[in-house]
Amino acid sequence: MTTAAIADTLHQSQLLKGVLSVLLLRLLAERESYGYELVVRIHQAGLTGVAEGTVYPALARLDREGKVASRLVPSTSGPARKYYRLTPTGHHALATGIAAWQRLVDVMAPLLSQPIPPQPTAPEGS
Amino acid sequence: MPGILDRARLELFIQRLDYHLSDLPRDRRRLIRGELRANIHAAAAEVGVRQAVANLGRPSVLAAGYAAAEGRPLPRYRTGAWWAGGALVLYVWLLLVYAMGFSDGGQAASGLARHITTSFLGASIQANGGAKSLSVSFSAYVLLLPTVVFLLASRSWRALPPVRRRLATSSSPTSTDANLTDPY
Repeated sequence: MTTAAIADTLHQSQLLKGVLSVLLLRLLAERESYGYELVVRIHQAGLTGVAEGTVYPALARLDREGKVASRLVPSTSGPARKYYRLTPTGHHALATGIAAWQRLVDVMAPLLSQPIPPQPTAPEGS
Repeated sequence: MPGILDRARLELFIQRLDYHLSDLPRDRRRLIRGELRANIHAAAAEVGVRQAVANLGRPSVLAAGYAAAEGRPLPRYRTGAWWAGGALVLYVWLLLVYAMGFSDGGQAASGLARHITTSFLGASIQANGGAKSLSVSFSAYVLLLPTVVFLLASRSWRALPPVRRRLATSSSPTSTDANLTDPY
């Protein structure tokens, strides 16, 4: 991995930190998953900058907050896996999170889509 | 089934993580270890144990993430243990200095044959000039100092459940957590 790719990964990771919970809830709304499976699904979606070390504690937090519930499923290749699913509280939090994200995008997108001026203009009144 | 080296690598990571998780309740730590083992096994089937462990980052950072996920301030038992140990060492050092000074001073003032005693913060010091001996005996109060230091430095009151939770009359555990224990 090049330095630029690492920097991009870190940057992406920081950007995603605030919406990781919403992302996890959204994925769990589709289907039940265990920790590593969620990591793979996130990476497959193109968000390769999301580290496993941030996903597992985030799942623990969602579990504590009652937004997800869990059950153990035996595995043939190792210890039993803890599968997470959305709870009604999680559904509500997901809807709220998506609405908040949409409001942010509605504000940010027009701002960021404008071309970047080559030089900042002088302050008004000077 | 991973080889011996891979199993050792996995165990080392789990143990290092567990060390950094020491402020969490024991049952909680066992659940985290159990779930993490399953995730590492799943990842190792695709990328190998070495890479699976590397992908988790530093154990201290991962542990900090789990601690933050608790959503409440945690007791700091390790910090408390260090402070209590430090307080004990300081106490013993002060006691020795005091006892030596007392012995020398007492003998010089009272003569060699005198048997003199004093006390210092829960310890009884006896100096026998004739036998040129110095003995120190401790009472149970000596343990009070490191205990108090430990309780304060570890912020042990954080281990108490919040008042609201204690007052709650009903609790309905629905999670499977109780079954997900680390067998190791």
